[in-house]
Amino acid sequence: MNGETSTAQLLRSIQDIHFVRIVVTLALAWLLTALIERGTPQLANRLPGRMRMFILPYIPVTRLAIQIIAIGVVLTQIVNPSFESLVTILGAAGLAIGFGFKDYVSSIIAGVVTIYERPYRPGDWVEIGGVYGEVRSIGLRALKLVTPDDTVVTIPHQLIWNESIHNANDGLRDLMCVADFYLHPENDAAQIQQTLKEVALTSPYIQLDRPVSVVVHEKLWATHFRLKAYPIDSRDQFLFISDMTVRGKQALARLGAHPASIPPAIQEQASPRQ
Amino acid sequence: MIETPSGSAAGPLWHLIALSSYQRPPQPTSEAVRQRIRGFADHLRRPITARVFRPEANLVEVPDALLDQIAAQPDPAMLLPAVGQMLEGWLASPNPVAPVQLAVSAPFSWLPEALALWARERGFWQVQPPTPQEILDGGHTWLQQFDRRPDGPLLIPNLERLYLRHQAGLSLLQRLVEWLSIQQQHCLINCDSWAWAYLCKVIQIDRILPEPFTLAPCDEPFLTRWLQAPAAGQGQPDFVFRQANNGRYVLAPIVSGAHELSRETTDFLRHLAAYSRGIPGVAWTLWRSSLQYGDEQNLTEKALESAREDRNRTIWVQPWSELDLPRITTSDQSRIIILHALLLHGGMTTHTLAGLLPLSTSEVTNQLQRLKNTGILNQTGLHWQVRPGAYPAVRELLARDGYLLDVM
Repeated sequence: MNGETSTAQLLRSIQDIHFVRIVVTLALAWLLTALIERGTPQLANRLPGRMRMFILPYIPVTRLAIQIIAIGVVLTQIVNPSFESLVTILGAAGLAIGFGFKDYVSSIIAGVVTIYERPYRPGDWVEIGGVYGEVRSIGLRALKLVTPDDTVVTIPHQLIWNESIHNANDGLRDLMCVADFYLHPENDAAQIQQTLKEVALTSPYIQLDRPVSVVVHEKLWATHFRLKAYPIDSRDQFLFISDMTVRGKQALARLGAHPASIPPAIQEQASPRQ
Repeated sequence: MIETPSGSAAGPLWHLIALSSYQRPPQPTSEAVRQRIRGFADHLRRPITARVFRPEANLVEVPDALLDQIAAQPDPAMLLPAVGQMLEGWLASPNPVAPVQLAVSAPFSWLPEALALWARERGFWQVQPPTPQEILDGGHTWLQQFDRRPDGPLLIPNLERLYLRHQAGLSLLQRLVEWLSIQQQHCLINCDSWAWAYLCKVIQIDRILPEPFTLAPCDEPFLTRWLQAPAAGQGQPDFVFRQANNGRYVLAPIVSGAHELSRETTDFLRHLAAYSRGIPGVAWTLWRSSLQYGDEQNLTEKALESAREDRNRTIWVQPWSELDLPRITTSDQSRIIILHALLLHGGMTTHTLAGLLPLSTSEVTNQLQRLKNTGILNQTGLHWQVRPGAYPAVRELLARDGYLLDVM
């Protein structure tokens, strides 16, 4: 008897629940969310790069706001607004989370945290758990990355609790690209440095407002040159790296620079025999 | 020939100013908003490409003879007084403080031609540009001519022709600039504004060469004086320019040799000055394409009523909002980098372009042809260049996508 009374007090009576309103609310929320999730990236991809990077980060925020409002509206339709009702609902939720939905809820909470802390946002190029790609969308539980090989990887948000997130552009249009060259140690390193810098400066993809640098490391079997520069748009990073690499090789050949010769022992380490 | 109205007491029309003082004529707010909305809508539409731009489509039945009178091809010699005012004193000085004088000119400004004309009349030795292959080979042979140069002043009319955006394409120019920095004899150099912007970033040329001068921007008052048909003294009636939708004057009519400035005019010239970014060649092209004469089918009653007294000498000007201006909303990366390369080098051939870009010759050829078909590019023999009427749209496209721009 008391249990039945409690349930009745928790929930509104059937005749007081506006099912039509609930269905309409959920349908509207679903429609808006779908529009935003599908339409906004399409719109953003048509816009110039600057506007694209401005619009994309707002997708998860807007979606979350719609979902919260929809859940709030639905709950007020079903639940009697009282302190006892709230305690009952939270208690039930806590029980469910503790038993079966721990990881799921952990990911959802992590998803909310990412919206405010912004370790990544749509349009960012990130590496999480060894996977590098562009953040295509951020859902409530997981994000979707598109790798350079056009593979979509779904990564639960809860990884942010324990893993580091490497973000290459952090909401900006440009990100540093690196082209590596391994040359014989007897080459003129200063001349090669200057040549590679000119290779970057004469690329059609380069962002000339950002610096260009060539970092030189001496290895046992080669001199490692790292040509670092920024493309105008992060989506062109692979075109840019390819352009720098191809023209860099051509320039080094014109210079007469000798490539590195890798000792057999090093080759063995890199690719051991089966 | 387009000239200032005779008897105008407003002083010289053309001026040269320091490049750092150059300011583009301001755009009316309403036009800026309209362009933003239209640009946004263009991005949403499919296909994402350039609309075909045919400037001659704006023109309705203007007889060629009349068009040559009211909007004839300008003669670069019209800039000579301004050039002389800037450079005569410098040339006359046997030991000038600044032996090197540098001009930076926007595309289609006619300043390079005027400088070449002025220099030729004064016996300057004019340097011919090297071939692209000579540039890529380092230009050692080409540079040797400077050791054997004749005494007297020197003109380099197109500095942008002395480099290529290629790893091997900068050394010739760098060595020449080093040589120029130690010269004591008169050296006059002109450089395209886009090449100047690029070279400032890449080789910091602005730290070696002196501060450049350039042509003052063509604003609304300038266009009002410049575009009036040169009828005085020719026995021809003065033409009046009215806007086709309301009959209001676009250019204040000339009375007794001067503009009757009390007459209210439309804001067409303000739009023209802003859209053309103060570049005379662009403004002239668009002005010419906006004129119509004789065909009154598209005119409003109000316009016809306004022109009742001078209908037979009225040149109708299309309202600015109805002009068929090019809009490019392409996201085709190949097309964008081709356009950028053409501007950075003041135009070039297909073969040279393909050598500078990570594109095959066939892809470059296809893209160039498509851009020509949409009215964006002009082809003269093997040489490709952006058309003056399409220049603002191309610049807008590059600005939107974050590419390096000139300052003009």
